[in-house]
Amino acid sequence: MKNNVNDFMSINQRIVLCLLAVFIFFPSVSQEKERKIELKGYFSTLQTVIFDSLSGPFANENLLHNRLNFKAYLNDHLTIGAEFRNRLFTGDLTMLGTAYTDLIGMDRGVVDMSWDLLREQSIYLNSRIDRLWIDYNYRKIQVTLGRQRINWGQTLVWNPNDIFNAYSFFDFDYVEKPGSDALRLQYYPSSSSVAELAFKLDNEYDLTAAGLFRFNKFGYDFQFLAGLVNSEDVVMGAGWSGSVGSLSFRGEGSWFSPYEQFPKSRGTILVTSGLEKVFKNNSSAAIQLMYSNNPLGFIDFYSILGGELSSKNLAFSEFTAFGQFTWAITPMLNLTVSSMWFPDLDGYYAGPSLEYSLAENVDFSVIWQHFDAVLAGVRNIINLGFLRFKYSF
Amino acid sequence: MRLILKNIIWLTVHGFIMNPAFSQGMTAADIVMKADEKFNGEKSSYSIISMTIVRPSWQRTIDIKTWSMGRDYSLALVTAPPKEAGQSFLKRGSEMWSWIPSISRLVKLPLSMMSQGWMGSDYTNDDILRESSLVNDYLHEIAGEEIIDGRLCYKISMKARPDASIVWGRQTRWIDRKDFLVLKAELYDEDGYLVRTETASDIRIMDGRTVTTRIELVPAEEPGNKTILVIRDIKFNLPLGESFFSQQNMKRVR
Repeated sequence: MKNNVNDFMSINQRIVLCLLAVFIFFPSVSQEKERKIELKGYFSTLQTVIFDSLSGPFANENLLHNRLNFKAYLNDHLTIGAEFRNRLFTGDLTMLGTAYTDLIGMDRGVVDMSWDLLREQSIYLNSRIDRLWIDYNYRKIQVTLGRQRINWGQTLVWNPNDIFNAYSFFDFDYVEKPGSDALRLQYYPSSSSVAELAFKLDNEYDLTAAGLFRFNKFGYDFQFLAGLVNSEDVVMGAGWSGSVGSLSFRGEGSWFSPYEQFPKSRGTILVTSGLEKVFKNNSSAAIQLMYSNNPLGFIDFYSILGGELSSKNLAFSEFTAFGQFTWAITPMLNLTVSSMWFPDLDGYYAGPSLEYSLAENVDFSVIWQHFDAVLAGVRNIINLGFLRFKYSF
Repeated sequence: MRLILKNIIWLTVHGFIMNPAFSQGMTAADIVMKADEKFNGEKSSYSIISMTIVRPSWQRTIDIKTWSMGRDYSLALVTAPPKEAGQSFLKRGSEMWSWIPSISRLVKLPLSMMSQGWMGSDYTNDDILRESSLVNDYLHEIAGEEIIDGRLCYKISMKARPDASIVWGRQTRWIDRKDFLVLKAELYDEDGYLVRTETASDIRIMDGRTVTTRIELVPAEEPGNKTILVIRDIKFNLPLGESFFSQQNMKRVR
């Protein structure tokens, strides 16, 4: 069995090497009319400070972050994508030891494509392949194999339908989210509908396999999904996007039930819905509510920030409310104020942020995240402050 | 038969007798339609556009490619700046979506966003995705003739039809008599206030047609602000089908 696993790994690794080879050798034959290879990405530096009160101790951390996104258009039907994420950490958190760096370096995919290039007392350099896929399009069919992002979410903040990789609202420095090592089949019956099947394996060889059908009717997008999550739960879900007057109206809900007890178990139900409104003066507001019959019991700040976030573990409170106001004071300067309310934790989150465009491709952000909640019977207050410069290319 | 007869009478009265353009047999609506088709293609069009947003203390440029077919189908792809590159917008009838490649998500947009500024510019979503029709949503009238940039133009007054749910209350367009180029336009809101003025210049031949390749859009009440549209390339009546304007294609188009 062990050998089989090793064989499997080495086959995967060979595929990885083949795909990488394409990127190394392809540019030499790519001088045609349309660019066949595309490179995009960004460099950023993120300075973080963590403290519970201004009079208390501060923990400082710096992250130099680089992302490289390659795309190769082999022909009209075949496309290959490879995205690399390189991060250099220094500071007080890195000095805490291996628990922190292990967490950063962990790869939850079926193939471990994360490498610690430098790991010392005060400095940690990790490089990983975040995406590596081959995509085949033929008529109404699209097949994508490899590490990819399968995003089934409809609403702004919480996405119980996003069963392949839930999005954490707080992790603003990683909007791409980790990829899934998966096979995804998409069939487009019409120009505004899709039927999908996707299969994902993770590092523990747990399988997530599900189907989704999304279509457009009465001015709304509707979707229905069903499948198995992490070899553990049967999931059934539905979502929608549409509008009521000038308001965007979106929602999604999922039911997770341990498959050994299916369908007798009550399981976990997550339902969320939200409204968004764009105003004339370049501002917008959004609200969203979520209900869960089975919110997470024991939690710490790590789980709130989205450490082990899965689409089943989004709720810390039976009801959760979210509100956000965004104002583009000028197209160069964006102010966002968002907040969340967790009644069961007698707690809230508040997060003002400013983003300023310093130059054509350089953005500067100031972000503050403030949490105040009762966790395991103790009131906890924590502040995270961030300064970020980001150059996109 | 009676309907056809009625139409002929209507055309005779409005098109040939009451209309100063009767020598060419064209109504005000015909002139607007001809200018619109000339620029947007009778069936479809494709263009590569640089849009520069100018503000008193800074400016930014966004490059886009757009495809359109009639007024029901359009697709716009952002190619620069890098942060937004790859984002695409699809309109099919009254439905609109955006594809955001960085998070691999298809977002359905409400049609009410049509009147909002497109990517921070003085253009609205409606301008980019052509939701309203210059021909069907207005009542047209030839208000005279004026010379703009040395070219003799029809001055056309357009009033929004009462039942049309569109962004503008009325417009005045100056359309060149020889080549049917819109050289100037003034757009007013529902209360009759001037919202913006557009002027077109840099007349060139592209894909065999004489077109204006630079359009400056100046909002009336924001001094120092403007948006400049430069057409780098334009092609007319490409063989695009309805399936080109699909969710599958909006993720692939480049």
